[in-house]
Amino acid sequence: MTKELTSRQFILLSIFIMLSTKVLTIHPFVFEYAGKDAIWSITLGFLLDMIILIGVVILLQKFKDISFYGLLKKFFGTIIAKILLVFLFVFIALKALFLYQETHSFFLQILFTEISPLIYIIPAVFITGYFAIKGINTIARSMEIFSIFILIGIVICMLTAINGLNPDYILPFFENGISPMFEGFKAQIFYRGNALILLCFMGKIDFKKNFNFKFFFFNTLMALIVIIIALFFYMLYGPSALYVEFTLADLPQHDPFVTDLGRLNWLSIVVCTLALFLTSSAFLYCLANIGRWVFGFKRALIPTGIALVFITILAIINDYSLVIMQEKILREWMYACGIIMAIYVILCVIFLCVRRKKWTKP
Amino acid sequence: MLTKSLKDNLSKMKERYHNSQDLIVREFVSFGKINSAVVYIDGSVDKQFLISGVLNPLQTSPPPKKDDVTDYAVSKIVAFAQAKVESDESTIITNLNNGFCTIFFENTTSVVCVDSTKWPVRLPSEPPTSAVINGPREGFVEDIVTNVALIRKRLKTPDVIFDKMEVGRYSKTQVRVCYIHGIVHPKIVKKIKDKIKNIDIDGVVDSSYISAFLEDRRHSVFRQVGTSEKPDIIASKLLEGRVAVIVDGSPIVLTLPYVLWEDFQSSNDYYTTPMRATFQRWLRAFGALIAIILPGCYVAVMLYHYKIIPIKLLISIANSIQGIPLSPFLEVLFIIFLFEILYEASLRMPRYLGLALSVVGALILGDTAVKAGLVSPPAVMIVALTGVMSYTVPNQTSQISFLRLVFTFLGGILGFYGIIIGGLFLAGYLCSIKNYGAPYLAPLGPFVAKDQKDAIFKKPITSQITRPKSFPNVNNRRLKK
Repeated sequence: MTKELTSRQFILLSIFIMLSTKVLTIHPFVFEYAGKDAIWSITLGFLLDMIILIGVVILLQKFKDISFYGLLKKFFGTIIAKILLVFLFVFIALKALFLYQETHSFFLQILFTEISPLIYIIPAVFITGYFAIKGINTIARSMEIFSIFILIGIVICMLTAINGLNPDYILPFFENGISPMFEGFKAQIFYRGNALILLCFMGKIDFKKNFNFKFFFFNTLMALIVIIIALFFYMLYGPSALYVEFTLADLPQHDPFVTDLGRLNWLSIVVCTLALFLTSSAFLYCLANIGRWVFGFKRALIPTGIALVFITILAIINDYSLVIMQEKILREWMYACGIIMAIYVILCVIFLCVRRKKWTKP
Repeated sequence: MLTKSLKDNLSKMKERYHNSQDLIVREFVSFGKINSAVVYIDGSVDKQFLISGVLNPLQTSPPPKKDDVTDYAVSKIVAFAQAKVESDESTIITNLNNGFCTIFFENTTSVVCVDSTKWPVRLPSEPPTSAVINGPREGFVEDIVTNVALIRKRLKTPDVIFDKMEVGRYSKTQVRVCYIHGIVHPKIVKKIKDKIKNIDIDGVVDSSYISAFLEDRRHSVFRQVGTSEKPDIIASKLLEGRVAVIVDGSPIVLTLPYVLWEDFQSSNDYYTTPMRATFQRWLRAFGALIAIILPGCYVAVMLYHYKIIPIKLLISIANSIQGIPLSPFLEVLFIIFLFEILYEASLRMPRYLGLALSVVGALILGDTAVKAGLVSPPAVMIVALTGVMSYTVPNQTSQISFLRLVFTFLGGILGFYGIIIGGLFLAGYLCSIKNYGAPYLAPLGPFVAKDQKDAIFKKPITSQITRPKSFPNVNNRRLKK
C-alpha cells in the first residue's frame, strides 16, 4: 500500500480537525449549560478527546500496513464491516454538515448582511468536492502551506483580546458545585470524538522517528491554544458570552482601541474559513473513501458526489441555519453521534487488545 | 546513390535543392588533373577557411599515387578540420544543411565533407531579462555549440553528458539533453528523452516548442518547465540534479524538474549576503501575493465589507469615490484592462516610443481619468501598485496578471468569500501538480525542512550540505566537510 501522508502532514491533519470544530461556536454553546465553569467543561472535553486520540494513534501505528476497511473485514467479515462503516459515514457526515453550517452562519453574521444559502453552498461544495477528489495528499499539502498563516492569525486575534481580560468573570471556580461542569461536558459531546475520523487514514501514513512525541506535543499544544482561546473569551465577555456567537471572530471586537484600527475580525474570517474548508474537505474525502469501501466505486468522483448530495440534502432540511439545526437535528442526532462514538471507542479497545500479526497477514 | 560522373552528381544536388540560389557549386581542378567541385550553402561556411584550409591544399598538392582520391584529399586538408568521407546521399545533405562544405571528385562515388561551419552568431552578452548587480554577466546565444561550450566551461568533468537529439521534420533542429551522470536520477533523463523522441513536428524554431511537449499539463496557466538564459544558473541547476535541454536557435535553455519556488529565486541571491537574499525572496513572495489579491480585496471591501475599514480611512475613500459613475468592481476592471493594453502596446512599440507611451499612459491617462471623474484615485493607485508588484517575479508576470483578473472577479461577485475560495482552489490546484517526480509547490507543500536552506531562507553555501530533496537524485551529498 502506498503511503499518501507523511508524519508531518498527518500531525497537521489532526491539528486542523481539532482546531476547526472548536474555535467558533463551542464556547458560547457550552456556556449556556456550564455558566462560569464552562472553561472546565471545555478542558474536560479535551481530556476525552486526547484519550481517544491516544487510542487511535496507537491503533494506526499497530496496523500501519492495512486499511481500516481491510481490518474490519478481517475481523468481522464483509457485511458487518460495511454496516460499521455506514455508522462511521453518518458520524462524519454530521460532523461535515456541522462545519458547513457553522461556516455559513459565520459568513452570515460576520461578512455579509445577507447571503443566499445557495450562493454560499455552491462554492463551498465545489471547493471541498474538488479537494476531496484530488485526494488527501493535496488537502494535507494545502494545510502545510496555510498552517503558518492560520497560526499567526490566531495569535494576533488572541493578542487583541489581552487588554480587556477580566479574571473575575470566571472566578471563583465551581461556585455551584461540579454539576454545571458535567452539564457543559455532556452538551458538547457532538463536538468531541473527532479523532475517530482519523481511522480512515489507517495504512496511509508514513510514520517517522519521533512521531509519537511530535504528534502528542503539537496536539497538546493546539488543545492548549483552544483552551486559552476559551479562557480569553470567557474572561472577556463574562455573562454575555452566551449572546456572543463566534469565539475567535469576536475576540478582536471587544477593545475600542483595536476596533478603531479597523475590524480585525477579517483576520479570524480568513483563519477560520481556511481551516474550516480544509477540514471539511478532509471529512468529505473520508466520506468518499467509505463510499468506495462500501459500494466498491473505483473513482473518487462518484462517492464524493454522493456524499456532497447527502450533506446538501441535510443542509436543506435544516434550512441552512445553524441555530435551527441546533434546535432540529443537533439535539436529536447528538445522541446518535454519542452512540456511534461509543461503538467505535469499543472497537478501538478491541483492536488494541488483539495480536497484530494475526490480523495483518495478507 | 552517387554516380561516377561529376556532372550528374552536381545536377542531382541542384535538383535536390530545387535549384535554390543559396546552394553554391564551384567547380575547380584538384591535384593538377582531377575535375572537382565544392558545394556548400551560402552564409553557412567560413569562406576564408574554405579557401586556405580546403581549396588551396587540394589545388596545390601533387596527384594521388593510388586511386582512392577521397582518402588522399582528407589527408591533405588542414589537420585540425573535421573531414570525413561520405557516400550516402541523405548524410551528405544533412552535412550540407549543417554548414559543412562538400567536395565532389570526377570518377568517384563518394565525397569529402569538411566542417567549415560559420553560421552568423551573436556574441555572448548579458541577457536583458536576467541582469545582475554582482555575478557573471555571460548569457546564452542562439548557437547550440556556443551554449554547450558555455556550460562545459563551468563544469569541467567527463560526467557532464550532452545527449544529441534531432527534432523537426523540416527544421532538423539539434537538441542536447544535458545532465551530470552520478547526480541526476536516470528515470528523469529517460522520461525527458522519451518525450523528445516522440515529438513529430514539422519544425522547431525555439525552445518554447520543446517546452510545450515536455509539460505534463499542457492546458495549465502555470509553466512546468524552468528556463534560463544564463550558463551559471544552468550549471548550478545541473549540480542540483536537474536536466537541461538546449535547443539550437534559442538562447533560452530549459530545465527539469521545475518547481514554482524557483521563480522566486534570483541569480542575484547567490552573489549577495544570505540575509539580504532571504529578505528579497520574502519581498518577491509578498509582492506576488499582493499583486494577485489586492484589487480583488479592494473590490470586496468596497462592495460588501466596508465596515472592516477604519473609520477615518473609510471617510477619506468615500470622499474620493464620490461622483464616480462606475461601481468599484467595474472601475478596477476598467483600469486593469487599461493597464494591460498599455503594457501590450509598449512591448510592441519601438523602444523609445514605448518608453514615451508608458509615461503617457501612466501619468497623463491615469491623471486625466481621475480628473474627468471616470475612476477614483484609490482604484488607480491599487492597480498601479499591483502592476509594479507583479514584476517582482519576472517569470510569473503573465500568470500573476491572469490571477489578478480572476481574483478581482471573485471579489466582485462573492466578496471575501470568493477570494478565500479562489485562494483555496489555487493552492489545491498547485498542490496537486507533480512534475517529473517533484511536487510543484515543494519545498513548501509538501514542506521539506532540509530544502528551506535555499527556499524561504537563503543560507550560506557552506551550510547547504545536501542537494534538494524536493525531487529525486542519486547522490544527495553536496558538500564534504
